[in-house]
Amino acid sequence: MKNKFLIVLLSIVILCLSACSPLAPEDVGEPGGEVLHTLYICGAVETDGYFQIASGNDYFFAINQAVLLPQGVYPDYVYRIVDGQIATVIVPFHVDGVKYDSINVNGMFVLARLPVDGVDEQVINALADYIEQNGKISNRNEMKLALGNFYNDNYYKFYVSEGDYEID
Amino acid sequence: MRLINFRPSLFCALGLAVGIFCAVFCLYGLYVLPIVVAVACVAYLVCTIVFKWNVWQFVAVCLSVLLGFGLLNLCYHNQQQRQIVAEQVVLTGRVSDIGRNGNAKNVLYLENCSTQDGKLSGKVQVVVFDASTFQTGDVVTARGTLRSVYVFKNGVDTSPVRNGVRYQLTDHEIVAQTAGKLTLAETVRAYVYNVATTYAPQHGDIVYALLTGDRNAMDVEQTEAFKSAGIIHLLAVSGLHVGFIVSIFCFVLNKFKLHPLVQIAILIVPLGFYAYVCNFTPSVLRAILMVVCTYLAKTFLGRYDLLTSLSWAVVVILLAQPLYLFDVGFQLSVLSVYGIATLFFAFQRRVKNVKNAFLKWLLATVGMSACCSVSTFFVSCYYFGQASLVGVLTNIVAIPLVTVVFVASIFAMLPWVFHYVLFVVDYVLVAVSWIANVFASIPFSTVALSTAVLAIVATMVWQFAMGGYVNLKTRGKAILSAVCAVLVVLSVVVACVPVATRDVVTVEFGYQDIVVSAVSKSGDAVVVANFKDDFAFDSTDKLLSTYKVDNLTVVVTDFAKCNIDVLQRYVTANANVKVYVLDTSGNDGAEQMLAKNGLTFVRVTNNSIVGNSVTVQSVYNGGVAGVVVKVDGISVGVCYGNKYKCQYFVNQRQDVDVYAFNENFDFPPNLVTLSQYQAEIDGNYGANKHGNFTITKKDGRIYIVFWE
Repeated sequence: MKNKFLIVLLSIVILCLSACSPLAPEDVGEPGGEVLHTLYICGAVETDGYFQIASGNDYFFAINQAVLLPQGVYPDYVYRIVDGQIATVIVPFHVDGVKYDSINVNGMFVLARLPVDGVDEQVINALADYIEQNGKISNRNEMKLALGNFYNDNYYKFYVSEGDYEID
Repeated sequence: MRLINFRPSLFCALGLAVGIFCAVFCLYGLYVLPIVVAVACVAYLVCTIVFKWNVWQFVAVCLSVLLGFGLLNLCYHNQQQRQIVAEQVVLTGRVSDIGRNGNAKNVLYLENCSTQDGKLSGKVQVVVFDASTFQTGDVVTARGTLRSVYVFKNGVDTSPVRNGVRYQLTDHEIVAQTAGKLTLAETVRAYVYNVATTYAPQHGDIVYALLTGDRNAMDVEQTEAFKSAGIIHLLAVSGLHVGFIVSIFCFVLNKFKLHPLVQIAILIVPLGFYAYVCNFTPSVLRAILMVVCTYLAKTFLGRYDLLTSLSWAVVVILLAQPLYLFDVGFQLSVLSVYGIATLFFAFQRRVKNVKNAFLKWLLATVGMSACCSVSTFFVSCYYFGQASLVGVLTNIVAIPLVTVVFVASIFAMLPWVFHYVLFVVDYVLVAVSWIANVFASIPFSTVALSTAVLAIVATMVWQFAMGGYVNLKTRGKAILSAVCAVLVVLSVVVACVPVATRDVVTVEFGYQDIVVSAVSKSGDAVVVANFKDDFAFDSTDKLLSTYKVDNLTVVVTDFAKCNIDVLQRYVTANANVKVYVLDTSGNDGAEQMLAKNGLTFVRVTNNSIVGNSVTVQSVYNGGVAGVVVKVDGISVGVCYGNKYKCQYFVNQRQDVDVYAFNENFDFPPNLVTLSQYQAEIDGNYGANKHGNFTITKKDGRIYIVFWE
């Protein structure tokens, strides 16, 4: 009986005390863990497509996930931290040290067969012919079909835009 | 025979103190002490019933505990009631003389303040660029942000209570300044300062400190020498000084053979005035109340008990201001007298048969000094991490000299030729100062020792028993002494021996710096700061001394502006130190210092992650915008820039759990933010309100701890 009385008394005291602790440790929630950003990386990289990059990493890290080709050039914002504002990374290329922007394989330059710096006219024509016959190019495999023998020397100069991209 | 010679007033004072401590612990959600006290009260009740002890004693002690608990909660409630988080005001106030006489500090304490919304209670603290342009009594009008000064941060901060400061004005501009008049106390202090510095050119600052307790005029080296030599208490107005004044007046009053009540009525006038001149500091209040208690006890009871009068003084002071319990000066003052009332009186009983007057005087002086030192030793260790070992010896010489100096200085304050007494005083103080310097320069004059509160309690209990207040035989005393000694040793060991590390991050806001320190379970520690502010490393020091750190990584965010001395303190603190520099600036002095210590620093490339179990990553935006420190899932981001950089940082690092910013802006309410000043936004915790922050993880959730 006495023990029960003591336990009740102690419980009341503890309850009273716990109600008046405005400076007690503040629970601020569970650790946030990693916030993942989805980036579409294309252009002069070995593997184009979507990549999940954890918050805190920069675009340098992201491009390296897609593996920069020897012909590739890092964009100017490479040391900026991935924040979701730049969700598409189009990696430029260089020819003999001269930097060029990658070209949308389904874009105006190709469709209108316009001359493009750093790219041979025949390559543009081959792509335009393929698109006229088969519709838009949606991944690297289709680009390989379109370029044929030109592929190895030119595929990194073109990219499939995020809107046209389909996994093979 | 009773085990304890019960002193109701002593136990009431203790009950009051325990109640106040319990209330503070409860405010911070620490329930161990309150539960122990509750259990002790229940045990006391059971014993009272079973052994038929005095019920009223039980009631008195329990009521004291409850009273202390209630009073402290009332203090907290009052602070919350008058809280001003941040308010734009035009404030007019009068410059008080706190920190003005001698070295003009760059902090003004404005009193009688009013704003467009009405009068403010208490003083307002204002940091100014050039303090020398302000004189005591000036009426200043300033426009700025008014904020509360909080007392309940990292425990209890009593410095605002001491100076009566309730608010601070920040981000201000002075719009008007007119000359004003001094109050009576200020006039007296200014007079004392002017006379002292004019007629005692070498040590006028010490004379001023001795008479008023204001050490503002003394230089740091001199103060440190007095501390190391164990005679700093001579400069804090307390029982010694009040005792001199009482002796002087009693010498005159005794000639008239007055009734003690009349004597005390007359004595209260000069003592009250002296307390007024000394700004009613806790130690002088304690001393004056004790004098009053002594006289009243002699008059009404016919006998006088030092411990009882001390207890009443403590009760009266704590009833008036419970927060004084946390004032180090008050604690040292009370414990010194406690040491005299217990150990010294026991010592005196043993040497009462000594016939030789000089030997008796010598024994009394040494004994009193030693008893006070023993009594205050662990308080000193607890608060300052060190205590003087040579104090007993220094006091033998210093106390008689300072007694002469004090009495002579009081007479020297009389007008006309009396001032010239200070020329002699100055030479005596040269001797005192020399003694202080000599003793302070002795190796091992101080011992660096940390301890837990338990050591103070154990010492108090031991003193009580040794003082003859517990009826124990020799064997009982020996057992009690052994138990207390074990507790003291345990306390010291617990405080000094580094414990196994855990995952924890601390954030401390300095004047120009935000210091983030983290330790991990595996023994890695990281300190991230710009190392500009010497005073912003309390949490870091505590963290590094508490935990057993194997590897220390020092991360400098602004190399060019880092203070070399501060940096050196940390790069030499551990055997395995790595130094990383996050920015691109240079610092030849720091590089030389690192080279001298056999260290090279590594510049970290933008955004790259360094460290093992504790990682650090900088976030760039033209320069270092911020740093993210991660340990076991806890991530703390610190941003050093302006509000635009802070917003950029938040956008960049949405994965961070707790953000620390050095500038207030419209923090998004869904974030947990730490800032220099409290903002009225949910999830924000200001350092001005909470002090330092400890961030830790428990059961998969993150907690911000305000006091450990």
